[in-house]
Amino acid sequence: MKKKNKFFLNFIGRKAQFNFARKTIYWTIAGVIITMVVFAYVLILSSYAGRLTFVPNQLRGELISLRFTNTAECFAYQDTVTGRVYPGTIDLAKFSEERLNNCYFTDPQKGYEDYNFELVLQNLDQKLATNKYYHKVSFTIFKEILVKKEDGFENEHLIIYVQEEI
Amino acid sequence: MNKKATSVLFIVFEIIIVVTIIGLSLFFAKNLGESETIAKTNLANNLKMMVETLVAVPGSAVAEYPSPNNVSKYKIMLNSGQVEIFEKAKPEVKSIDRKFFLPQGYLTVGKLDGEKSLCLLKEKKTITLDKCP
Repeated sequence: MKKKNKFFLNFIGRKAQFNFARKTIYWTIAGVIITMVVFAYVLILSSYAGRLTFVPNQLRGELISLRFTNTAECFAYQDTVTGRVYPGTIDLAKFSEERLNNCYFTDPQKGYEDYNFELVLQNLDQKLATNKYYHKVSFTIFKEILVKKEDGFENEHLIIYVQEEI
Repeated sequence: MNKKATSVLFIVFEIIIVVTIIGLSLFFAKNLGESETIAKTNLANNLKMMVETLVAVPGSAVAEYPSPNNVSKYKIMLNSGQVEIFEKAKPEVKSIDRKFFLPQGYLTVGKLDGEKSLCLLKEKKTITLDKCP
């Protein structure tokens, strides 16, 4: 009788041990899944925050590059008599490296982290690039413009190659 | 270990884990919902783009920041080549800044502290941050 009781107690102990082990395995798996869910949740929230502050790169590039054709301090043609600036008209006499550096000049050390541009006058085959332009083109902007030459105005295609931060 | 005690212990443990996860999720979501950082970042981005657009405008111009965006909570500084946004109530909290490159001779100036409206005025080669007239 005593032997039978001992066997019964042993049996109960083993069953409890089995339950304990089963729960441990369950919680190990659950722990991994819960961790993954928490990480996914944090990632979703972070990307959502990123989307809320997102500005399309093309828009940023387009806005910066407006100055090349619209500002007299850059390449826009300005009537010497009236002082009127003609947006969308490039003065060929101004189209130089020095003028471009005065118009848009990025940081000499870390300028590659900002937008850089290469301007190409397609028909005239003239090119200019900003100080940290390394031909890593992210997107291209095409503009129909006028070019003021000594003998008058001409239609021209301006191609602006935009290099985003490297 | 007693089987019943083990079960109770596991149930308590499960409840603690679930409550912690729910609490953390709500904490993160609430922080994101009330985030001033996002509002400050958007304001800084918008002002930067406004300055870059004004640079390309020949002659004088005034640009008003859309009024639905409440800017009175912020202190805004426009230095030459940089716009910086601080939280008025918590100036110690990290500010958001955005840099831009101006053509030679151009200048950006101005400081705004808790004004409801925000305007950028371009006169000759100077862009000034001020409250709207």
